[in-house]
Amino acid sequence: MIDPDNLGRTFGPYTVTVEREHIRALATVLGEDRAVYHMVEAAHAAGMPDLPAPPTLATRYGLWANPALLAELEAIGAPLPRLLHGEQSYEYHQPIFAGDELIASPELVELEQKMGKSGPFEVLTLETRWYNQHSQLVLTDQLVVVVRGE
Amino acid sequence: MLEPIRLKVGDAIPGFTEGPLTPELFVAYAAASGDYNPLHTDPNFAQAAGLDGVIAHGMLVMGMLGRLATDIAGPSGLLHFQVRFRAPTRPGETLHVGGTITSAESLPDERIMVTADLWARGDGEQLKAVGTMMAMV
Repeated sequence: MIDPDNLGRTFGPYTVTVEREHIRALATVLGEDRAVYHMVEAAHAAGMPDLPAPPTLATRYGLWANPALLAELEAIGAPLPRLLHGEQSYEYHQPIFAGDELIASPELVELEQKMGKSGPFEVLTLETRWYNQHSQLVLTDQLVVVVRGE
Repeated sequence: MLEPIRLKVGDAIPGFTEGPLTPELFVAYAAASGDYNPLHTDPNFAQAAGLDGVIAHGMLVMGMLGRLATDIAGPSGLLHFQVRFRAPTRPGETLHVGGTITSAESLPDERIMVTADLWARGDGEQLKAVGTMMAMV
């Protein structure tokens, strides 16, 4: 069981640079072929400074792609093999473009113990508020994971 | 660039179909997203974890719904987007995504605040994910 004292705990901070290649690769694998996600000229023509982030780009910088954060969760009793992604939400405050430098300290904002058919499990909510190089809040990411029992 | 689609309340959002999904797509998604959890790419690992094979990344399904959200919102109109994952998606399944406009409010600056319900299902009626979006268009 995860110690309830971990509620409110923050991890990181983690910093990332949004690369054009991150945007192109995610758009490509999702079948998102709008030119603004692939060609800088198309983004400029649409009045944007560089390639814009697709709606789910933050997953490239979130829990599932962050071994250091996964190790932190494992250390408090939530190892990757027992995690299931239950819910995901994004609140978009400011646009994110290739070239942006983002920083965030994910916070454990909810921790619930529940009882299911196959025994106890926990539900953990991680909130990540990403700020850009201008100290603007750009994105609030809420990730809800189910931690299956041992 | 595609213009955002203009719709009214109750309208079904023109959806799309992706699939059948392949194990190679899950490997490609792992590389593109940085999520290398072997549950999505290694059948032996998935079996050891009690599944009967690999399952898609939930975020792959949300990413497909994100395409639909962008159809409505354009690349910079999305304000909020959330998804609940309901059932695993396996190789060989086809994803069908769609949605419904739930509200549309004209703003003084002539833009429109739109909300919609979104869903992804496999073949048959089983829902893989359900969600909502809010956008200014």
